[in-house]
Amino acid sequence: MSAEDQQVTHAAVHTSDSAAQPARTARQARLDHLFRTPPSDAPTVTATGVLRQYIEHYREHDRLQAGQPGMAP
Amino acid sequence: MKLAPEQLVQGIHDLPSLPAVVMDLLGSLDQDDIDISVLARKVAHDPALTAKTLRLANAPAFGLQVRVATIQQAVTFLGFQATRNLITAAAITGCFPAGRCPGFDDKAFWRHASASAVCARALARRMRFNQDVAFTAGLLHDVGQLVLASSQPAAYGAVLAWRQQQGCSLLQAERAVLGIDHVDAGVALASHWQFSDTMRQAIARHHDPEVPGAGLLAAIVHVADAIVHALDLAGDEDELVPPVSVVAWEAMGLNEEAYLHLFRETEQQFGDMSAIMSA
Repeated sequence: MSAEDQQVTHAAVHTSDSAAQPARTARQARLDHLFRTPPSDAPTVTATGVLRQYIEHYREHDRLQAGQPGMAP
Repeated sequence: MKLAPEQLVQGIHDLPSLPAVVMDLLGSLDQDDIDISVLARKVAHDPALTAKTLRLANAPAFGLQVRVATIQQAVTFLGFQATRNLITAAAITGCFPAGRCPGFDDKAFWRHASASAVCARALARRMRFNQDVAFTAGLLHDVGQLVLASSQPAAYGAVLAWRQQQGCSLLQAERAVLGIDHVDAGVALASHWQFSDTMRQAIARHHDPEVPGAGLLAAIVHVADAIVHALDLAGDEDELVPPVSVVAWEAMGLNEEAYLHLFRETEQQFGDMSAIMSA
């Protein structure tokens, strides 16, 4: 890969991260709103915490699938 | 604005009656020995009920490769139990006029109910439990909300306003404002309409499936309800995931991969159904 290519790739990754961040924050905020569990309920210790973790993985999986570059049309 | 039990009962008695054929079906959810041709003939006398049942039967959630045009065909392709449940679902939607209660979003209600039905059915399949019964229980678990919104619209409007102010759960708001909740109203309706014991128990225990004797169906509906809230499918800004019972969660015995499939299945299948239910 040429230096120019490397620069382009880096720029693309950087742009994609920057674009993804607000969406991720919004998603996280909505999950915080949905799961208004008492602070004593440590995540993953309770069934509610496990459900939240699975939902987070599910949404993250969706995001990766939607944003994956180089996928066949 | 506490609601006396007799006011609740009166409100239920004032609701439109279910068609006789649906009363028969609800009372016999646990039985398999009903004459299909008699059922088909009885339902055919009610064109609106037939039309809505067939629209549901043809929804993508049921995966039919052919389009069914009669109740008899629906029974042939979907099976008797599934058709019976669709007739029940179609009839119940007709009993609750939309738009009577300020702040109550009927479309959001049916989105949640339809998604819970699809999710409960998918859970039941993995648990080797009766999928059709789980579907109906998922659909009807919150029917008490419709009872309160239809029969006590002003009081229920106050409940919804309280929930928004306090940021609490609907159940908490109902108890604080009315002194009763949608579970009480759902159980009262289930008795009035003579639902089967299994269905009554699922409605009564979907918020506390750990009570001895609650049964597996209540646990399935409890977990499906929490999943659907967590997937944020109703389109309700004040959506809140209820605490999930560890006992019910462990009773499902599913791993993360199974849940991810379940989430996908629920999201893909509920949309068309909810549109038909709230039409």
